[in-house]
This record gives sequence, C-alpha cells and structure tokens, in this order.
Amino acid sequence: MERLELSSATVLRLAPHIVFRFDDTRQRWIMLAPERLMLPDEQAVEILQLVDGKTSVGAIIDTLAQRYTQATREEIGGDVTAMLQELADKGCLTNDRMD
Amino acid sequence: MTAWIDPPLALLAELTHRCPLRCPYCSNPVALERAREELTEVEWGRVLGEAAALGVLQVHFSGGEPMARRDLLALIAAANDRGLFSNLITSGTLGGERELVAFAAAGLKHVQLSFQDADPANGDRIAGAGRRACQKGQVCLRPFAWSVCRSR
Repeated sequence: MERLELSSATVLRLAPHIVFRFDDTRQRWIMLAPERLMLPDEQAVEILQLVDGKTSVGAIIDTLAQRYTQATREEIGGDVTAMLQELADKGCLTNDRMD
Repeated sequence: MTAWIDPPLALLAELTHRCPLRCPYCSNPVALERAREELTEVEWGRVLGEAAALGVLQVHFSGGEPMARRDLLALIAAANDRGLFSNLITSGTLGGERELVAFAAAGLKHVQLSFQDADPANGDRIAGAGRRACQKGQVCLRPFAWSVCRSR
C-alpha cells in the first residue's frame, strides 16, 4: 500500500476498523483498534474530534488556530500534521471514501 | 485502604465448541459443551450488556468455530449496539463472502483468520483430512483485504 502523505487539502476519516469514542466507565476518550486500546491525550482528542471525513487538514488547523491564539498557526499546523500523519501511517486514518 | 482493580478490557466469548476441524493442538476438547447447552442468543445479549457495563471494550467471538452459530450476525449487532469493538476468530471454513459482508455491515471491526499451514495438503493434514481449511479461508477473506491489520 502506498503511503498517504498529508497535505493541507487532504480530507481524513477514521479507517473502518477504528473506533474513537467516549468511554463512560473510564470517563475519557478512547481509540480502539484490533487488539489495541489507545488513550489519546487532551490535545489529540481535540484534533480527532475534528476528523470527520469532510474537513480538510488545513481547515482543522484553521479551527484550532482560532481556538488557541497563544501559538502561531504555523506551530499548531506542524503539531497537528505530525500527529495526523503518524496515525495515517499506522493505518488508523485514511482518505479513502467509505464503501 | 481502598483496593482498585482496573476494569477489564476484553471478553473472550466461546460461543460454541462445535467445529468442523480436528486440529490436534486445539485447547478445546471436540465436544466440551453440546449445542443444546450453549448460551442462547438472549443470554449472550445479556452477557454482552453486562460486559460493556463492567468496562469491557472489545469482544472476541471464538469457539470452537463461531461461524457454526446461526445467530452470529445478531450477536455482532448486539455487541456493536453496546459500543463493543468486535473481533471474529475463525478458520474461515464455514460461510464466506456473503456472511462477512453482512457481519461488517452489522459492525464487525476485525477478523482473525487461522491458518494451519501455508501448504494446503499439510493444512488439511493438521486440521483433519479433506477439510480444505487453507484455501477456503483465503477465498472468504478476499473482499476484506482493506481491513487486514498490518501492525502484526
């Protein structure tokens, strides 16, 4: 499979074998993958909540840059892209359309 | 002092001990529980609900061969309704593409396919003569190539 290299125009969604949801028992957001539980931190949760299969990476960065004015858009963009790229490399995020 | 135990992460659901294969290494006897002694669909629905309430996040449908259960589709849907991430552990020898497409639509997230050997003749030798376990499994998972987990 070819590596998905993110650009600001890339539109991401969760891969079909990934679940991202709030867990009432643990009172925190969780990400489930085959035989794996990931515990995204607060920042990752905010980013992942904006991954909806419609919003581009650039638009996600814009939203967060408006929300957090203490960092520059460039700084936020670097962090967000790095995190999303890492999850795309692990197969958790994809730009494929749903079947 | 208060003792605290983390909630359980996963439930291994041995839905049945029926299986068309006879692999000598299997941890289950050939017929530990007879079919009529298995939990019913309603009982499994209750167990899945209780597991989710305890904090279980993933359910592994196993056996025996879980695809020997006619209500497997309903159990996958029940698990999905309760927010459980479901995994099917199968030899791929019963059912095929039609069943797996329906399972995926009901919320199945992961399939673990067991192979006895990459060589079909040896696979049959391990699973019991003439079982064709190797080839059948490959055929039934072909449409699901996209969901194969490459982290393992």
